[in-house]
Formats: sequence, C-alpha cells, structure tokens
Amino acid sequence: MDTHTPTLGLEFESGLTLLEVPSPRSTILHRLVGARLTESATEHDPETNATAYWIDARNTAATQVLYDCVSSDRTLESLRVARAFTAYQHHSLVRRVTRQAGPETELIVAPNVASLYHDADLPEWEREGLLAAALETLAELGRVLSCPILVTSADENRADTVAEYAATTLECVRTREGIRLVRSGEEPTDDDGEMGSAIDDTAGYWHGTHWQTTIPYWVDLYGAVAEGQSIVEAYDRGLLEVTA
Amino acid sequence: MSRTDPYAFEFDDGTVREWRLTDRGAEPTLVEDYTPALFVSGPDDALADLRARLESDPKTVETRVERWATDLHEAHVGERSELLRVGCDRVDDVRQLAREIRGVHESGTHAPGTFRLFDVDLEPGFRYCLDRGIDPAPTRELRTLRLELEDRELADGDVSGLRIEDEPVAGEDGGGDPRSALETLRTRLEREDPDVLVVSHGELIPLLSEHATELGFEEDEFHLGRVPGWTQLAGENTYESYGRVGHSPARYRAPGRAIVDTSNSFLWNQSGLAGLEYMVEQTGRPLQEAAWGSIGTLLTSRQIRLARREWAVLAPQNKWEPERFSDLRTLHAADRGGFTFEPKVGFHEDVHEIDFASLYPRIICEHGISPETVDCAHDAGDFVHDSHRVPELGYEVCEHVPEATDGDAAFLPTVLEPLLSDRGDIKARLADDPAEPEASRLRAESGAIKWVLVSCFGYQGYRNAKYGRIECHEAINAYARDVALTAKRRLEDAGWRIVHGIVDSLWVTPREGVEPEPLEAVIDEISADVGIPLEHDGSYEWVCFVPLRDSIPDGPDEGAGAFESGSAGALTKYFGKREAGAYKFRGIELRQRSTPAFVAESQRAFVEALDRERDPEAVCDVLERRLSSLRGGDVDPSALEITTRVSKPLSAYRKRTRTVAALERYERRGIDRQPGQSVRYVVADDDASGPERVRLSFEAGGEYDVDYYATQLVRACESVLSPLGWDRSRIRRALHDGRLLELSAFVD
Repeated sequence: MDTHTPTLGLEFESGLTLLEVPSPRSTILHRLVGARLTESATEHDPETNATAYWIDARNTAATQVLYDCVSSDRTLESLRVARAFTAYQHHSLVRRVTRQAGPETELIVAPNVASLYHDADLPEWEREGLLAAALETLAELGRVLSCPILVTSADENRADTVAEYAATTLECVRTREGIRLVRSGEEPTDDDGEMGSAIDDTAGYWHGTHWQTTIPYWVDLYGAVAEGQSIVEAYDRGLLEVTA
Repeated sequence: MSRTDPYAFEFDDGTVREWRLTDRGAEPTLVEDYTPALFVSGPDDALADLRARLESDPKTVETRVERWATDLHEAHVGERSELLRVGCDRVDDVRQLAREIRGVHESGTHAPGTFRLFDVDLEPGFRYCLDRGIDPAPTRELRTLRLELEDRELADGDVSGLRIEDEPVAGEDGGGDPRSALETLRTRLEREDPDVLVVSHGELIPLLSEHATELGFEEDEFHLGRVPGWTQLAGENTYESYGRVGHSPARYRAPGRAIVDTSNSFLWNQSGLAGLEYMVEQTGRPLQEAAWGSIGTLLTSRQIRLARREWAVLAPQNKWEPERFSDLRTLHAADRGGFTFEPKVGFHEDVHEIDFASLYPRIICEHGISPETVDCAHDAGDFVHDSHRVPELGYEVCEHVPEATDGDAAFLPTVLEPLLSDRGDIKARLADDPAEPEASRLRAESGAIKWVLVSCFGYQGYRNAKYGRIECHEAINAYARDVALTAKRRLEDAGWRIVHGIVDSLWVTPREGVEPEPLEAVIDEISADVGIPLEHDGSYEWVCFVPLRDSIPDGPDEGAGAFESGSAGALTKYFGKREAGAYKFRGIELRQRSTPAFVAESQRAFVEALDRERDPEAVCDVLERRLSSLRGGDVDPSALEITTRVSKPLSAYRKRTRTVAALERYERRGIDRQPGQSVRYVVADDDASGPERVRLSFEAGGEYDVDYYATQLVRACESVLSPLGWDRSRIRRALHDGRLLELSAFVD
C-alpha cells in the first residue's frame, strides 16, 4: 500500500486538528475513529489497554453508528467513551484524559467540543475561560503524546475559537464523491474534473491547494485496513459516501 | 410548651424577620445574628490564599475551615474534606460572592475549576431553615384569601374587577370603582387576617399597593401584608428546561403572609393547599418558596436537606463530576431506554391492565441504587460491605455502609422510601372511603407525592440534577427492562397474551383457545419474584389501541378506505371501557389541552356510540349530527376555544401560525404574553393570514370557521375508528349528507 506524503497524519501527530463539520450530528468522526482503530487492530496486540478516548458532548457517540463503521465489533474494544452533559463535566473529562492517556494512546476525539460551553447553565463570564482551558489542555496533550486529537465543531463562530488552538483546521465538505476535507481558508476547486479521481484508488490527497479526500483516503493514510482494500468494500462498509 | 417554629421569613439588610403562627394570627421576631454562608473546596494552598483575600471583602463577616463531605460518595466511604466556610453579612450577597470567587479570585491565578463552591443557590428561606434546623411546616390550620383579576383587567391596571374568594367586589349593578374595591379588600384583610394570599397573578401585589397609594390611602391604612410594605423578590424570567420554554413571573413578598401565585404554582394547581403543606414538610422549603417550586426543585430541596442533615454533604453549585470512561459495549447496553411492547392496533375485548406501582422508585429502593453506590468500587477499608451487579450493564452496586453516615439506607432510597410509604398509607386510608375534607386532603397529598415519584427517575439523568448521576439512570432502566421481561415470560407461560406494554404497565388478554391461569395468582408470583408489587389496575370490557397517524394511509378518494392491521401502534394512544363502566382515554384528542371543548365532547360521544353499537357506521351518524350543528351555527363559541402554549416571543416566530395571530391580538390589546404562557382563541377564519384569523376568548361576537372545526371533528372521529381499520375517506363515504363536509376536511 502506498504511503502518501505530505500526510495529514503527520499534522495530527503534532496536536489538535479541528474538523469543521456541517452539523452537530455529523458522523465523520465515527468513521475516522472506525478506520483508525481498524488499522491499529491489525497492528497491535488486542490485549493492550485503551488506545482511543472519545470525550462526548450532545450524545454524539451513538454506539450503533460506530458499530456500523467497522467490520467487527471487536475493533472498537480499545475505545473508551465518556459523555459530558455540562461544560463543567466536559472540562473535567478533558482533565481526566490527561491522567488516563499514555504512550499507548493513539487517538483522542472530542466531537462538538465547544458546544456545551454555550449552554445557559454556564454563566457568561465563565464560558470563554473554561473552554480555552479545555482546548489548551487538549492541544498540549496532543503535543506531549504525539497523538492525533480530533475535535469537531458545527458552529462557525465557535469553530473560530477552537481554530485558535488547533494546529490544523479542516472543513468537511459534502460532495458528490463523498466527504471532502478542505484545508480551511482555501476554496475547494470545482467538482468538475475531480470525480474520476475521487472514486479511484488513488483518489484524495494533496491537490496543490486543498485536501480532497474520501474516507478510503483516510484508510490509506493510516496504513490501510487490509491488503487490497477496494473502494467497493469501503463503500459496503459505509466508509465511503457515494450519492451519485 | 416549647416555642413553635416559624412559617414565613423575610430578609432585610442582614436581619431576618421570622413569623410564627399564633392562635389568632402571626407574630414577628427579629433575628440579628444570622450569618448565611457558602463553602469552598480546593487545594490547601489555594484555599489559604483565597481566605486571605476574602478577609478584606466587606461582604464577608467570617471565614473558617470546616470538615464536610463534598459529595455523597465521600460520605459513603466515611471521608471528609476541609472546606472554607465563608460567612456573609446579607443573604443576597452569597451569589455575588460566589461569582467573585470563581470569576475574580480564581480566574488568572488558578486553573478554572480549582475552587468548587457549595451552598450557593439556595433560596433564602430554605437556607435559613436548613441552617437553623427549623421545620417551616405550618403549626395550625392556615387561613387563605384568594384574590383574582382577569388578564385583561391586569393589563389595563383596572382593580375594580377584583374578585375575592370568587366573588366580584363590585356589585351586580356594576357599582364597583377602584376605591371601593380596595376598601372591601382592606376590610376583608383586617377581619380575616389571612396567613396566605392566593393571587391569580403575582403582579397583583404591586398593582393593588400602588393603586392604594394613588388613591390616598395611608401606608398603615392599606397593606397586603401583616405590616406595611411589599418587596419584589425576583424579576420575571423566561427559561428553558427539558427542551421546553417556560416563563416564571416576577415574585413578590408581603410581610407576615405567604404568597401563592397560582399562575406560577404547579403544586397549587395540582394539589392545592394540602399538597403544598405536605411538600413544605417533606422538603423544608417555607410555604411561599414551595409554592413556586417545580417538582424538580422540590425534589432537589428534599435531597439537599437530607444530604446536609444526615450525610454531612453540602449542595454543590455546579455539576463537575462526569461519568467514567467505559467501553462501547457497556455504553450500548446502557443507552437503551425503557422496555416497550408494540401495541397491537385494534379493538380488543377482555383486557386487563396490570401495573408495577411506582416501578422506578421501587427499583431504586429495592436495589439500593444511589449516586454513591452505583459503580462505587470503593476500598472497603474498615467497613464491611457487599455488592451486587446491575443486569446487562454489570455495574457494581455497593451496599450502604451504615457506619459512614447517620442514614440507615443508601441516599436515594432514603429520599424516596418515606414518600412511597406515605403514598401506600394514603391509598389504604382512601380505600376506607373517609369523609370530606379528610378525603380531599389525602388525595391532594397523594397527588403531590405522585409527581415527585414520577420525576425521580428522569431527574437522575437530568444534566443539572445536584445529586443525579447518569449511571443511576441507566441502572434503573436496566432493572426495569429485566423486570418487564420477567413479567412477560411468566404471563405468556400462564396463557396470557400481551397486547401492549409501556415500561411499568402491561395490557393482557387471554390467549385464544387457552384457559389461562388465574391472573391474580400469576401477578402475585411475579411480584414475589421481582420484589416489586405488580397490581391489577383494571379490567376492561374492551380497549382500542390507536395506530400512529402516519401509518393510516389516506387520500381523499382513493383506496379501499380501510387499511390492513399491522399498522404501527402509537405507544400512548388508546381508549377503553372499564368493566365498571368508566372510560379511560390516553393520548387522543380529548386528552390534549389544546383541543376545543366541543371537539373533545364530540369525541367522547363517538366513543360512547362505538361502545353502544359496536359499529363504525353508528359512530359516523353521531359525527353527522355534530357536523350539522356546527354548520347550523348552534355551537357556543366558548366551546371552540383553543388553548396553546407560547414557545417563543412574537418576534421570533417565522411562520404565520394561529398562535402568532393570537399573540398579535393580545399585543394589540396591550396584554403581555411571554413564552411559556398560554393563549386562548377561537379560529375565526383559518384562510386569513393576519390577526383576523383568530379571536381571543374575551373578544365578543363574530363567526367561527366552520370548515376548520369540521376538520377537527373528522380527525377526532378518525382516532376513534382507526383501530377498526377506518380512515377518513371511509368515514366520509359513510356520511349521508355529503354537503356537510368540504373536501378539505380530509386532507392534511
């Protein structure tokens, strides 16, 4: 399997990556986690401890969606999930992860990372500081552990705050070929002409000005699910969205 | 005889005025040495630093270190923390000081969340009773005086329409003017010396007082309290809770009397004074504070009092403690809701409803589920302890450790057990058919308890529940599923068929061609097995389970007009006739608050016709008569009034709904309608887009929109006939006079 450079993976390792998602209910994170753990399951001893943490907000960690992203439920055995229902709990979970995560940790995700900090039960004066502390902690954790930390935000204004702490910001754009991740601040090129490559095995990487990718690209990126993983298989497993 | 405890409290400038009920009235006592306090936990050095800073704060009168438990689990394992107690001069300063501790003293020098605060957001009267060990339950029978104004009169500031105890102050001949209204009120207040003012709107307090001043009454001549003066305690407020918008009006105080604002008292409206008094006793909130408390607030107060008194646990300000990280399998199992059996749509005869009475609270008590016991995983240390596991989830539930606290059971069971047992006693006493007013007092108390018991489970999962933990919520659910499945298995083995079930209720009917075991015996066996009493709630001659509206195929003129059985049943829509003769309705139009009386009453008539004739055609005949009186203009417009709740301010509505039209009319009349309040209107012309679309209940005259209400009638009829496979096109064909209905009555 090819390895692609420059890879997003390198940038993840250096810290926090923000995915700007179209909706709080976006399932891209579920699929990325599924793909990542599928890859690591083939490499690692299944007996090792938790390797991935999911800091949940707004009940995003729908278990069925996650199961649907992997071919075997066992793939997700190393994932640990805890749900926050208030910003205070979210902040506490971020701090807890710093105590629990270690060198074996491969991935930490926090969907809707800023969302709870805007709830009415948090006084106005406290919002910014508490969110900043959580984001700073996550960014630092990514640096110390050299592991990717993926956070999402569906709200543009909040995403701006999160982006201040993120090493990389990617925008998820739904296209006819699938979900395209665009490096923030750069316009995606026209869909025309991209279609062929998008459904092709070599699809989805650096196009000069943007990252264009489908989920299989991420699978490739992380060293691939299995030898000879085809687009059709990826589609069957729900990793790839083909709406055309 | 020792002095009785006071029942009403006022806080002014660092002093407390307590009011004790006497035989003739009530007497005040001034207390000057009360120091309300909040507590702070944090690392020792940070606390020492904070203490030094606060000592120069003029709001602070004293600081000292005390030992308390910061959560139930800490108390459960017999530990305590050293907290900084910060005494304030005035009760009003507590919240401000709390804000400064986190927002000024913590911010910048310490990480957010370094300081955790306790006992911050307690209502002043409740706090005082808690601190002083006062039981604010009234010590003699209370005298109430009810004062009412219509919304419109309130908006106009017109007090001449005042009603006292349902009697208009103005005479029949309309001789009322503001001065004589106030004179009458003054006489009544002097003569009756009420302990409680039950007002239709809190705003009556300033309105009446200000009018008195304008009309030249001296302050000591006219006052709503036992001494002159009134105060606004809190401003009006729109809030969101459980995804619903609510509105709480401003709150006022009249010295020496408790005020109950009936526009803002769930408990008063559900259970009246008796329910309110019971809750004062159970929560420790003085009457006025109990009156405006939501069920969640009341439950929290009860928990805070128990935690403080028996567990030495303070009330946390915010919910910092998150759930533990768990694997996906556990989360998957925990995320499932209560068990439901899909209702079998249709008309069923010989149906029995059996219920697990107070299922959730009983599970909590039976299995010792509590924030400190679920997944406690504590090192037993000096204490001997034992544990059991939650089905499906495997959470370990630790036994209560009696040595660690004053309580003799786990926390949540201790909160609920007395309520469950009171409810049982009340049920037993009501069964003896006591005379009034005893019977209505018992019913009111039972009603008040019911709401708390119903809420206690959901509350465990509520994000801001002070002592709630999502794991408890999940554990309770897991036990409930286990209980339901056990019951199902046993009932089916005994020859019964389950036609419907939701969480704690099952509807069963004898399986065809089988002689089932006697139901009572099966029920007793299940009760003994699961440890929770299963009760035979009622026997029905027949029950209809209504399909979901979406699953009724429709279309004005196509299709056979009937649909196959197998439509999805709505979980909570059914109606039936008890063997004793009474009907039971759930979820259908006549139970909905917004349904006009005429439609509701017609739907009842449809059900009665169905019962009498067992024939859909006969029901259509009733519909036909109802439609014809609607067309003939024979329906009293007040029976066509629709009541709906406003969910947002007028400016926030994007679509031009009927509610918007009603709000526009209210606004035109100068009447304030806030989100969370209701609007009442008659649909005048549903095709109009402006305020002409509706007419408010107090606006006289005008027509009603016949076609609109005809559609409502047809829908109500469809709900009754859909279990029998009839949809609205078949209903239409059954009508003899086609002119009664526009085609539009059949389309959405």
